[in-house]
Amino acid sequence: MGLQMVRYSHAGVFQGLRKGRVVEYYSYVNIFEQKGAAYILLLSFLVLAILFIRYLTVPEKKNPNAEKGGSPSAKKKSFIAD
Amino acid sequence: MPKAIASIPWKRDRKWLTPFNVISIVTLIAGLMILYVRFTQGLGSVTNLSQQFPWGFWIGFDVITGVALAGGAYVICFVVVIMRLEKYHSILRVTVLNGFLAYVFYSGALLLDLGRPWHIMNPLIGNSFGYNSVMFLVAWHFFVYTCALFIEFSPAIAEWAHFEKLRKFLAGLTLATVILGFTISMLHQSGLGALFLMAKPKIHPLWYSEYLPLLFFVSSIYAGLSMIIFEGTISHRIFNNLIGEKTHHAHDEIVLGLAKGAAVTMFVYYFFQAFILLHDGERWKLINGFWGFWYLLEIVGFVLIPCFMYAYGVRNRKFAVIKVAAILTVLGIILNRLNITLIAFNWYAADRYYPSWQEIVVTLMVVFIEVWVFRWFVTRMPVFSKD
Repeated sequence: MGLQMVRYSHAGVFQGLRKGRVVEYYSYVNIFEQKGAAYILLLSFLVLAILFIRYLTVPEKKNPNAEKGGSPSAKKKSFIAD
Repeated sequence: MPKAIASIPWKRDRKWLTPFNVISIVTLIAGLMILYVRFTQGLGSVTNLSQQFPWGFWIGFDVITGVALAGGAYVICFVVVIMRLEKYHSILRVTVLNGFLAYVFYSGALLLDLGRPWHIMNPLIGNSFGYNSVMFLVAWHFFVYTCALFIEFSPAIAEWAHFEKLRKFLAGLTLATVILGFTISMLHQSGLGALFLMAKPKIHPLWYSEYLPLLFFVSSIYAGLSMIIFEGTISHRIFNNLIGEKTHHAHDEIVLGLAKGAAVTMFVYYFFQAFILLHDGERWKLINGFWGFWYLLEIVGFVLIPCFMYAYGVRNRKFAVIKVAAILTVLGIILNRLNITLIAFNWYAADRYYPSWQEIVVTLMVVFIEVWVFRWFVTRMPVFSKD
């Protein structure tokens, strides 16, 4: 096509020479191909973070001090304090 | 002798000639002699510093690592004063004292490394200094934050000296100084990372990232929490008589809370590192080889594994596991900061930098002096909660 690429300008935008004139043209970037792993990692972080925090939240029966709390209000207070 | 000192059982019962005292005094004398040589004959006489490696062990360990490990002070101040989690109130003073002494001694160790130490005043008085430089910001932040930590601790000094009105006045300043201190801490912890942004060609790509300031800040949170667990365990054993019954029993719950905080922060930090590794496709290719394995050792061995150890310890109330995790985390922070400042710095150079024995002795001297001063404070002033 007589198009000679001169330089990469910014994301997806290229500058080229056609018949001696500088022209700008676009090309599509497959972000899923480029950043696919990063997106998978981000999604897995969101899921794993929830699971991790749930794992860290010790159930009542494993915490001997929680059994002394008694009333539901006392349990609620200790949950907020933690 | 003031009444308060005579009434402390710790002083009456303890022997003076302990292994710690003997080792620390010998180190102190050796360190002072080395410092005499350093100040009379110059840095080159006792250190392995060169034009290629102008920052050595004193900066890498004392300043960069020491400040990260002192991060517990701003975290606990924020948690107790701003978030009002009273559970951690009993460790507030001792944590602030630790932070204050760490800043005084570790950032003070900067004086040893400056060719002309008297020029340290230049950033403060604005004499021939680049106002746009990160170093200018860090210098001011160190100074202001050390003052803020002193004000936060000063009610304990006033209480010890029986100045009740002054104590009330100083206690009234706490909220403002905590807000100021927290803000400044966030900035200078990240500022220390920002110092290395200008050394991009010198740091190995696995450790260099434009997100270094963020990584420094996040890692300082779990470094500080782990250091509180580590120091708290030692203090609990050594200063057992100074700690009140109620605080003694609450210690386990405090450790669990701190471990939980450290685990979550480490989890986030680990994913930050993973994102950075994947973000730039070129960096991923470097994972093969010595530097890649060294990097994985730091991230997996000293971040991910302690993170899971914390989680397991919290879940099953295994305090031994939590304490081992705290030690591993502190070692991991030391390794990370030394990697960035020394080990992976000028990694391609034929002549590597290794700290001289004099540099190590002086560093030990700084640590021992801090421990001595800490012991002086806690055996005289109301640092540990008496409840």
